[in-house]
Amino acid sequence: MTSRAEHSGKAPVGQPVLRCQGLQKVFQTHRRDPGMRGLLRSFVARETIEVPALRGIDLSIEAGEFVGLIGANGAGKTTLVKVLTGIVPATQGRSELFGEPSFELSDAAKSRLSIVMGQRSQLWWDLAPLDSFLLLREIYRVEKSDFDLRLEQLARRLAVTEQLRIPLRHLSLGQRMRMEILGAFLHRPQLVFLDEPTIGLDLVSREEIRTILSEINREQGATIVLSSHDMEDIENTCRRLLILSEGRLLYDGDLVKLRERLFEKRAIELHLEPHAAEPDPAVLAELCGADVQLLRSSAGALSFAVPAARVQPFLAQVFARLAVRDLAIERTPLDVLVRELFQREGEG
Amino acid sequence: MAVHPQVALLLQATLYELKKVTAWRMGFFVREIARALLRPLLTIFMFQAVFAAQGATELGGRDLDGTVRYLIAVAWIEGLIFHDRMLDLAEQIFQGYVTKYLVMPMRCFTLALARYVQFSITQTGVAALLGIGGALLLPGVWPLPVAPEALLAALVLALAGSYCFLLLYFLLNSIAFWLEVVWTLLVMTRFVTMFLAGVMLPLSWMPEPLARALEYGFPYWSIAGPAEILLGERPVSDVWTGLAVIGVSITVLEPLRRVVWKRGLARYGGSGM
Amino acid sequence: MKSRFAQHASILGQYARAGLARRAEFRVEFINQVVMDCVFYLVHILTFEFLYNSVDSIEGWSRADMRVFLGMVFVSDAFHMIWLGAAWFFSAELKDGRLDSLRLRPAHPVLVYFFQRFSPEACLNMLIALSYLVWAWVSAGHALDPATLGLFVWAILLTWLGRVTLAVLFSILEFRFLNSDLSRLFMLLSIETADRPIDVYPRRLAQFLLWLIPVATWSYFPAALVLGRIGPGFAALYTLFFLAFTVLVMRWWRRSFRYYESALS
Ligand SMILES: Nc1ncnc2c1ncn2[C@@H]1O[C@H](COP(=O)(O)OP(=O)(O)O)[C@@H](O)[C@H]1O
Ligand SMILES: [Mg+2]
Repeated sequence: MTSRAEHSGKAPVGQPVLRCQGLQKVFQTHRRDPGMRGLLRSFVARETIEVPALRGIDLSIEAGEFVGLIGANGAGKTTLVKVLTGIVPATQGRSELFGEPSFELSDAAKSRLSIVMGQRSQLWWDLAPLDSFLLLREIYRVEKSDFDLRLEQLARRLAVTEQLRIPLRHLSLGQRMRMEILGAFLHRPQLVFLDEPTIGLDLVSREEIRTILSEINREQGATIVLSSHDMEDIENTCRRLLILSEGRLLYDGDLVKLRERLFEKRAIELHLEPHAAEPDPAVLAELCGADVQLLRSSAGALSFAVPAARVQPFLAQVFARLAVRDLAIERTPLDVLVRELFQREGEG
Repeated sequence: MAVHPQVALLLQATLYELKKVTAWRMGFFVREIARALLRPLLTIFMFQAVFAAQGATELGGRDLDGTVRYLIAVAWIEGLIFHDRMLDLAEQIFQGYVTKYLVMPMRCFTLALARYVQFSITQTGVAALLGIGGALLLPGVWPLPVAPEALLAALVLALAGSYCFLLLYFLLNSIAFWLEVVWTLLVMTRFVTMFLAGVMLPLSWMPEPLARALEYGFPYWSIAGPAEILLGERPVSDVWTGLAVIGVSITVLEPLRRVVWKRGLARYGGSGM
Repeated sequence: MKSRFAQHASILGQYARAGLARRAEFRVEFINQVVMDCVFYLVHILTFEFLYNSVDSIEGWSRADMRVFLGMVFVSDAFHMIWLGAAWFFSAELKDGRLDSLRLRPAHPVLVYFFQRFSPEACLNMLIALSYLVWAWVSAGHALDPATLGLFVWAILLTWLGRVTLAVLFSILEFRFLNSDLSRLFMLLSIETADRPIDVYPRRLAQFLLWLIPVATWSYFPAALVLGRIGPGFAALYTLFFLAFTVLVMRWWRRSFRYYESALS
């Protein structure tokens, strides 16, 4: 009887469950010039173009970690997840899950793995989620008693017990995503990839999903890799942060350390009174000073990056000098972070 | 010169459809040519076996060569007939994409119509190539039109009949508002109409009363009728009978299509949006 | 833990359950599909009945033989309708990159994919098809003893396997020619080819349908087997050949699946 150990959801803590080296992925697509000529030309010979999505990724993730993978749209997050899980092969480099090459995973390794794609449902659209889960039970060979228990627990935690028997297409986006997550954790996977699971959800749902993921990670020791294009998803959940930009790992390390290194920033967006005069450049220069940056400026709207500790005095200064109608404060926005990282790299 | 907006839209959509067709080369060749070439061949083998088994020179009012010519002509013309696979409306309805037509200043049927125009253009081109190639490569076998008027009459009938098929398939697709999968319905309809059109078995092999009755249907006048005119088995003047039958079918199908679509859209819950 | 065989049987069971659950929601569809399939049968039957009004036999197939043959065609078709509906969608799902999860499931991807659209109404069609087959057999004056029944089981299992193997074989083309819909084309051509005994085709084509793309397994071989038109030696040999063929096709499919591109939708 190996099932108990296999289904415990715990791999020995401290051992790498995932390792990759020099990982590259180049996609090939076709381009066609617009218009009738391009149409005819494409009919005869299509032009192949190469899209490098990953440009050399080195990474090692240990059992029990909760890793945030962050990057703008098109940075290569989804591609990285696909290559790491062996959905598509790497163009170059090595990638291993549980010590097996990602692209050659055995069924045993696949049973320990799970994936949630924010933009792609893995459940039957026209049936109740429960029907899909029963299928997953058979595919992953989960014992009935174990399955029932697990389903009950997860459904309660995700607050979807009532919806288990309602066809998926009648559920709200947030409920659907919870169902996807439920399905992904049913077989007690040791490694779970969640690719932008919060996309399109409202703030409350996002927060709840993050909390649940943290809990599952803590209690069951499942290794979780959570990708998002939004820093907020990662900030309070993950201990370790990966920043992906144009197919490269820009940062891999402790989230707290990163904050310290970069100081914590806030993006402050100001909307000025519509009929007020254009802000004086001299005033702006004065506002900026040493550690405040002007990010964008357009008619009636200004955007600054301000160290967290300086927010209060800065705002006092702003209200004294400018006719502010409205303002928004965003925490450590991704583009600011990435820009800072690039700057540091350039300096260092 | 101001063009009616719906017409301009139709032109745009047709161009778009043409682009889509050529975007996937393999599919284009495969679907349009391989099928048109291979399918009738099997039927011809069948009839060769039938004639051989019987040792007869004439069966069903034609000798073997005549039967082969008829079968080729029928397959040739069938290529012009709007195909149910050209509409993915049912799928769109079920997935909930159709609600966009509720807010757009256009009718969904215009898009379908664009598909029909695109299909007619490409298929007439393919049929012309096939006709020239066939006449050159298989001089004794290929069904040569008895007269230019016969060719024209056959083309007009086929394209007009094809429009009936467009209406019919649009109508059946609209049933997706009520039923989950419509594809079986579409496949079977195609199947039955092809039988009624004399594609699987020439009408002359069918019992007399059945054959007579089928001559009042648009499937017959879309395919077998034009084939017979093309081969000179019917006078060219029969084109008017055919157009009359097709005209009546259109006057029945068009309002029906409208009503079903309207009703469907009205009851549409927009589920899945 | 369940054995691999039990695992896959249970997956099929879940697919059947899901198919039934789907139908519980859309009841009208049930009747609709059954009726339409009966029309499909009727058109076939009529075509041949009309043909036999003018001839007595075609390549040695009498009217009675041809009815048994058609029975096999229907039984084979109904099997496809019950289990292999997903094959029609393969091209589109591959193109849209909707097979991601399939690559991650710890079960045979062919079974997980191709059998997922179980159609309960087609079971009724299977019943009708089997009834027609039995009627064709009995009305021709043939006996229905245990030995014959054994032959029938052999024949029918082979048409079913033939359906699966060829559906999988054709889908391999989609990996090579993305979105070409070649699998659909080959499937349609095969369905059409299998509508008539391969004896009516030229020798080379008949050989091709027997050995290279064994469409013969759908209707010709099973019908010829029960009618005693082929000897037991050849029948056994051919069955073995086809089993080996199936194994090769499954291997080939899994290899091809490695080239899955997972396109953005
Ligand atoms: N199947 C594909 N074919 C071609 N290009 C692709 C494919 N998948 C992704 N890409 C390209 O690779 C880059 C990274 O995409 P992706 O991994 O989806 O980014 P992210 O998930 O971070 O938004 C993009 O430029 C995208 O256009
Ligand atoms: Mg992505």
